[in-house]
Amino acid sequence: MNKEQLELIQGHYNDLARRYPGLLLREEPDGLWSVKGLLEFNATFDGVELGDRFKIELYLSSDYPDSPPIALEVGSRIPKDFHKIQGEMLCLETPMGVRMKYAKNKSLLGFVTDLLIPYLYSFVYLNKFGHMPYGEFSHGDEGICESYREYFGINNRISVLGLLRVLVDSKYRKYRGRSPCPCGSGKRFQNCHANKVIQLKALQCHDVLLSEYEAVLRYALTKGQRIPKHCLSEVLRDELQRGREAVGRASPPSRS
Amino acid sequence: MPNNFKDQYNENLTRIGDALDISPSKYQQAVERYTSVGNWLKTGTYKGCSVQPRIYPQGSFRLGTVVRPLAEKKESDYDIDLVCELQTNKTSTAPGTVKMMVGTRLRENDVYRKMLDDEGRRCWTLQYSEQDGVGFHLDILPSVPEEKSVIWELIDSGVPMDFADKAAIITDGNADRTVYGWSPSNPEGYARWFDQKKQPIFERIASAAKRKIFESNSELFGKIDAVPDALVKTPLQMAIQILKRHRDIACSGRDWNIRPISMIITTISALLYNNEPDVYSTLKNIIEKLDAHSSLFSPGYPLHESLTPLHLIQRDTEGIWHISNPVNPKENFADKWHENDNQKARAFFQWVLQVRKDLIDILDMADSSRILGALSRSLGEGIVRKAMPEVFATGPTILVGSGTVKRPPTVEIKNPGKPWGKPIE
Repeated sequence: MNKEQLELIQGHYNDLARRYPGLLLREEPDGLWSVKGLLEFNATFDGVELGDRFKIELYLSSDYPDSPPIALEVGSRIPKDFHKIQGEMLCLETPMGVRMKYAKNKSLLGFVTDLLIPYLYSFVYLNKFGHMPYGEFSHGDEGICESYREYFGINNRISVLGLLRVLVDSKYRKYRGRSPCPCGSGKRFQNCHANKVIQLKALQCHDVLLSEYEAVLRYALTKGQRIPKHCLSEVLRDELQRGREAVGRASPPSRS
Repeated sequence: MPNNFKDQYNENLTRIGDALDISPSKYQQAVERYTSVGNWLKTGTYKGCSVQPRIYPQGSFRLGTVVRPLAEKKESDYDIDLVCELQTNKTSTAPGTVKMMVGTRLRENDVYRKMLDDEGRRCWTLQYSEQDGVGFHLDILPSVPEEKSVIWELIDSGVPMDFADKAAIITDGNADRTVYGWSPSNPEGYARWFDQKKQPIFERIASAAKRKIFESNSELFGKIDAVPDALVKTPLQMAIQILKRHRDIACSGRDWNIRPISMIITTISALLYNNEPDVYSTLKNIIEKLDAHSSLFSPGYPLHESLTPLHLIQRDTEGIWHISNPVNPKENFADKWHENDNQKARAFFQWVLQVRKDLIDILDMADSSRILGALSRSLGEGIVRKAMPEVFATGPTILVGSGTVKRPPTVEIKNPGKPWGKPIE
């Protein structure tokens, strides 16, 4: 970490601590930084005001503020089956959802206000009223698929795949605005989903996008759907090929 | 600013000072350790000495300004300085010989031989590891009494006889220990000078303080009188401890060579101390006067006329900075401050500004929910947590006066995303 980054982290932390003084910045043994402590918040949604306090930990990545921090709840209040990864990390939204929200305000305070607090609010709301205040996505691949159907505003999994494929393969080929939109609507791309696709591309997290594309693909396959060729990503095909080759080199050929 | 606000802050600072200090039981342990080493050294035979060496602690242990080590960092041991003054004189025994004689005596003891570290420039170091994980470094400094003629020089230059007559000089080796010299030091004189600065307040608070220590540590002390004077802390000592801890945290990770040294922090604080009865007033006075000295950076090195008679920090016509040892005026603690375009001087005054922001100006903000967070940042979360555990149990809002609980700002949730999770494999 260089000096500018450290100063930035300090500045972001100061902004956060002004609102939430129970949170403290500390340096971790590996040289990265974390924010730990008591988050005491008040929030309203749709006229319903709730407040609570949670013991949380945020871990900053080495490229902070480019990537969002990771959040954990360490007071053992949130159970393993409430939207977590590996029982620990809080899944505030889908990975791309987090990136999209975080992109608007890449800072600790932005993260806490726009992502963490709404998540904690929905947990408190659920416990109080028995249902989620603004819904939730299903776990796993199904949830990723749902999130894109919502984002693109289409119901068809194959249409989603077609759009995601264009995104993921944009390294290989630029998809022309006058070509028909991959969603299958018949309209030109630039008059249909081009903007939505461009917004995702602007976030510059190709790896995350690729893994979510894979999730939707997997889910479609488990549903027994036939995948048309234009939905199959060349980037993914190449990566799988490289992976197969690596495995082939690693293990000796078996005798049958 | 309401009075009870300032009282509350003082109370917090005092509790933090307590938490920074060495615990009475650890202090007793340290005294036991260095008394044993002292006894071993006293019973040795040394060429040119007809009487036993004088053994006495110096530095923060002697002054009562020990600061608990930062546990997260590597140096998590307490540092104890012990002077071993051989009763010979500097003309008849070379410094290298004095150093070696003490080292040899230590090695004659099987236990100490195993604990000996590599030879230091001025000391021999014994490493103690303790069961509770917090150990000691015992630095033994071989020395001889100062020559009478030099002592008279000191007295002539204005040092009171009481502080000059026990002056000692410490052996000082070069980087590869091939050449040894004498470093004029007068640790005993300094300690006495420091004691005198805190004496009036000490007398006022001693019996109440000892009673309090006795009551919380009754298994350690047979009766109140057995509580050592060294455990009674005056606001001067607490202020120094807080400043040292602030320095430790603010300057951690930075260049070790330019951080403000404890000797300067201690000397300046003691010189400025005006018998203030509480830590906050003590700190405020010290920091404000120090900050005012930053005028010395301007051309001509101007200084406000009220500050000149203090003889705190001065600059001569060549721009060399001076902070004199009050019991050895020839020793200049700031002799290297001018180097590299006044690098150390600038580091010092930057630190002073930081202290002012973190510990003094913070009170003007009249927003006590921020104070706890700020103190944790500048003095360490661990120590604040330890000093005020009840605050962390229920949340930072407890700090605010009586009754009113401050609520955090309300966030209006707009366009929330939906939580998502991966099923546990």
